[in-house]
Amino acid sequence: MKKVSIEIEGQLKEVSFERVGKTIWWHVEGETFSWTGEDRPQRKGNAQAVSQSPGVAVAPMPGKVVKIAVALGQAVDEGETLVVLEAMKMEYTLKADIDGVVKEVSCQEGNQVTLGQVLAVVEGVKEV
Amino acid sequence: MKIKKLAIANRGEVAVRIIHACRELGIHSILLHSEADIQSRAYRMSDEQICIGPTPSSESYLNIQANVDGAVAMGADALHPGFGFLSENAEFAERCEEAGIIFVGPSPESIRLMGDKISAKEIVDKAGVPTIPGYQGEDQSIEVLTQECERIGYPVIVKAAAGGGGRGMKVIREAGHAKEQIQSAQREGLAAFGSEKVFLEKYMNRAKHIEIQVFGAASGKVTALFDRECSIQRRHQKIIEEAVSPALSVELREEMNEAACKVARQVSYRGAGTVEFLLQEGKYYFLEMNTRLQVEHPVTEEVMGIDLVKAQILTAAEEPLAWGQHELIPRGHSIECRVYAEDAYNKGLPSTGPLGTCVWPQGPGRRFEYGFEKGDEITSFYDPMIAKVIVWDENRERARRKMLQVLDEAIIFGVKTNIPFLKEILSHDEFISGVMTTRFIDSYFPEGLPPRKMSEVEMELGQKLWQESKEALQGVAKEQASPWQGFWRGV
Repeated sequence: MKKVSIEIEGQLKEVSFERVGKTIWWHVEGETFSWTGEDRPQRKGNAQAVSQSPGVAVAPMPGKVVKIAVALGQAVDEGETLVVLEAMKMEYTLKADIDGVVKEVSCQEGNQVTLGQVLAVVEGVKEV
Repeated sequence: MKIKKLAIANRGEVAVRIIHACRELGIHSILLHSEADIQSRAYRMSDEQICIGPTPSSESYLNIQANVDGAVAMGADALHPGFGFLSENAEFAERCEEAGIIFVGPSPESIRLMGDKISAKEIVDKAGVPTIPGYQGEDQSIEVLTQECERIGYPVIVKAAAGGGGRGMKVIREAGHAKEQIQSAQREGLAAFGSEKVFLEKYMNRAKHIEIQVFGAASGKVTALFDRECSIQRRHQKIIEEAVSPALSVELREEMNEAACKVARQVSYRGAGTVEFLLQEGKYYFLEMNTRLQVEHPVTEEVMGIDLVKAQILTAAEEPLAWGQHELIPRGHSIECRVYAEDAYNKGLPSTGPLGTCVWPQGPGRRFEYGFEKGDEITSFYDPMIAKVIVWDENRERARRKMLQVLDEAIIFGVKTNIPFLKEILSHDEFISGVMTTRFIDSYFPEGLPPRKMSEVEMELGQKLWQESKEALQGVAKEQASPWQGFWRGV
């Protein structure tokens, strides 16, 4: 860990920083920040793997699939449980974020899944 | 009965805590560890180590045979189970004794009676201590369980009968979710404790979590070491604990101390234990008894001026305690924050990876319990708690302010932590006033903290630091002009 003094808005502040793997971490005025790779830096805690596309359920963390609550072709409502994951001994429930039909189930019960892996896809009901 | 070699059947910060006690007592410590934990502070600090199995806890820390074999192979004469894992497993305690190893904890009978939450409730009824309305029947069919939910009235909490630590526990708010939640609790119970038996009880929605630390001396005498409040919980996992509770009157405190002792005496309790209560509208109800050391034991140690872990080991060796009930008077106030490896700004999702530098800012009334240091890996195989920060000060408000200061100064690099969340909780009016209930997190932070974006200034700083660290890695000549020169003027 290294320390530098920098002037921000006319005041001298001490910044502690260190690179761990591909991520730069720094601490200033009681807050810790991190930034990975060449992207723009993000405040500590920004989402890493939450799906942006409606209907796509992705693993928000590495873990084990303990239950698949739906079958292919099944109609689901928003808020209905799709998959239950276990990580760090706690269960996390992934729910449908739209009404629709289950188009894809890309995991099996007992599977170990990785961060960001797509677990199920719900296709929205098309407006006619 | 002198203890010379003590095996530690645990990991992380509690293993370190036990090693400290061993060193101070002149006892040789033996760490029973999994393959992954070769990279841990307890491994480096213990006198001897033996690997008892692969990384998954089901094959190592939860494997009774492997732990007993490891302790025997290393010539241990006693074993401390810490908390979690096998600490409340009566069979494990029995197997240790059969192998001629003193189990640092209560008797297997005490563990069995209090560990099965159904028999525990019967014992507590006999002691004349109030319990919460619920269903503890043998009929575990989903039909009967959902019917019982209706009878008790929603909200109902479903719990794994062999559970603890928040696992296998679900709150059912309406009939439509009953079946799904019960089955989820059964699965968690089966996965974590090997039993899918559950029981139901009325969910107390304006209650405080108050617990009494008790201690059964080798002589059989039970003392109460006063109370802790642990109302700040998320998914039934405690986050912030304090001693003593800001909510108890002198009379109520005395009454609850006595109630806890009555429960402990019913099972001839020996060693450190905790009787947990819910307190609502001035009435307290027995929740459960934990027949082991608690994660939050340091706050009791701080206000009582005692050492629970050494007392546990000495009691196991049939030695008398250094205190008597009349000498026990809490002084000042102590708060503990559990530091979890999780993303505070993203719903508390686990954060894993190698730890970078960690700075624990020392000072008067500050105590840090941690099991991992720079280079150690935080994995998703184990509990996400990486450290505990404990403060003591003359009163609650001073302790609270000290904690905020310590959390500002503490640095953890490599994994994201819940420190920003802890600071928000500590700064909340309801926490400051001390009236918080177990609904605190659900009421005020149901989604944790909202995501936050960095400012332009912060982003530029990040890019500069990235550049600096990259150049340092590539061994760029030191003589080169510093990128800091002039950059921050006028920002």
